[in-house]
Amino acid sequence: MLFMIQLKYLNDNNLTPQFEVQGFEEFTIPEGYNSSFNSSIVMALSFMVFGIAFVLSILVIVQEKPIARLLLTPLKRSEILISKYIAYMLVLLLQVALLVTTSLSMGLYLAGSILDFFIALFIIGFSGLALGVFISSQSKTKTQANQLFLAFYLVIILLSGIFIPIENMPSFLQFFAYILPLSHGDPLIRGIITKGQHVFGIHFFWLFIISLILIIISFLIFRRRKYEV
Amino acid sequence: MVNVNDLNVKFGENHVIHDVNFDVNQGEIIGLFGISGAGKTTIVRVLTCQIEKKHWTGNVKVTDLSPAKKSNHSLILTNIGYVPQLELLNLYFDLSPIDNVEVFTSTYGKNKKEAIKIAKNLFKILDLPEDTWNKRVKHMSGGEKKRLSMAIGLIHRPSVLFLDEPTTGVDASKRYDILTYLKKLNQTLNTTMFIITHDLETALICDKAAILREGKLLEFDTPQKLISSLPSKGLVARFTVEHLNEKLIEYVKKFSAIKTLLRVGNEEIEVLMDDFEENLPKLIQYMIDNNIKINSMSKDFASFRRYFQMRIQEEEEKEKNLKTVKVIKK
Repeated sequence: MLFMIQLKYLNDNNLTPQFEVQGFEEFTIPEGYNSSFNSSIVMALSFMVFGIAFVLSILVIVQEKPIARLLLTPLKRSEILISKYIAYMLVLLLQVALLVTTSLSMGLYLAGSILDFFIALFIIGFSGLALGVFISSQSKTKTQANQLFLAFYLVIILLSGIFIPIENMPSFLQFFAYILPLSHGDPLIRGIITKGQHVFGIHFFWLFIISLILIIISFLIFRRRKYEV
Repeated sequence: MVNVNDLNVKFGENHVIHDVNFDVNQGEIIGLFGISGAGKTTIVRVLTCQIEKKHWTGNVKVTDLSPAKKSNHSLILTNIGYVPQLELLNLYFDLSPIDNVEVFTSTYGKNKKEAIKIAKNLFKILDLPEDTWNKRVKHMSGGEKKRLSMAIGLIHRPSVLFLDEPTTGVDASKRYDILTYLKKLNQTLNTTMFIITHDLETALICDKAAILREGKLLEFDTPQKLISSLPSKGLVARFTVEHLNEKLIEYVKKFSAIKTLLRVGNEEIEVLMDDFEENLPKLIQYMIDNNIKINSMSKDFASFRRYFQMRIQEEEEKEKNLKTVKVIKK
């Protein structure tokens, strides 16, 4: 309001404004959508889906004792790991579907498309799954896996940019932040919900690369993992 | 079926198995006996492709295929079955027996319906109650789990089955049941079986017994032959002696015909002699003359347990003597 009065005064007196006016698009939620839910869920969605996939897969290798016996069948180690990924990806698909339907039914306003939203949640969950299997394949005991889960999850959330903007962090922390999956997951979801961006962009690419690297390392570790019956 | 020639296993400086040789034919039950650390499991681990070739040398063939070649591994693993010591390594406790069968069948790439048919037949041979087939494994009793574990090892109809301590953790009355089931399976399916065990009663069902000590194969023959290789074809005199102590034992040992004397209980000793029938009365007389009070006496053939004890004792004594010779030479 004050700004409008100032502008009118300048125009009436034929004065050139001494400041630059930059317009910005204000994000408003249309009527019929739940605005308080909208502002809070944007932040929570990415670490929810990531955490669910992460916690599900953390014990997948370390807890399963009959793997030692499965290795005495013609089954290859890589096949065991692939089967784990496939099974947990199916569970993840169901969870993402559940998250999308519940959040939409509770009044989430999506500026982007639902498919983009679905794919974004899936790739974030998938990176959690990749990290979970990685920790599980290199842990010797359940306790170790559980403790690593906590340590990783806390660091990932703190450095994700959800609470502290990554640009305000010291440069060495910024480096760490960018190699962690949630620092790409949060802007990806935020972009789709608030700006209507497409899912396939730089953040998707990084999430995919991080997951791929974790999967490759998991395969290498699992190949060397010792099993005795 | 299984041939092992000059098998040596080394982990760095640690020489675990020394020149082991044996041949096994189709349908035989082989018992691998030995105290802990004798190398029983290591031999089986070589046969089941669990030890990398760089750690072992020798000519080994399992179902006419060599585990030395990595390309043979998947074929060998299809031809063999393995029943681990602990059921939790072999079974998914949250699944039912039938589901477990399905999981393991899928690993062999075999038809599930056919496998379930085979499995149900095995369950019947092993007397697994039908009402447990679709219940979770964790609700089954210890003995049932053990039998289910054996059935899982056989669902793909392997030619050779390896069993690790099948009678450990089973109470004494059930132990014979397990052995009977194993014999039954062996006779019905003609499967060659390798049984790694501490339990010397297992020799009752074994066609051949392998006795191992510190990585060396001491004997490999039928238990009967091994027992009859003892002095006087394995005839044993068992005495119950009042107030038995080490001094008395030393006294009895002085009797020249005695080959081996074992203390087998609080007041019991077992004696092996040359010319048993001739020397037994003399021994009794000798004991009476030396005021050793005999409460009872019986004559029997040695059990495999006694044979095993004597063979291991003999080997230990040989080793002791060798050490003394070395010390004297120094």
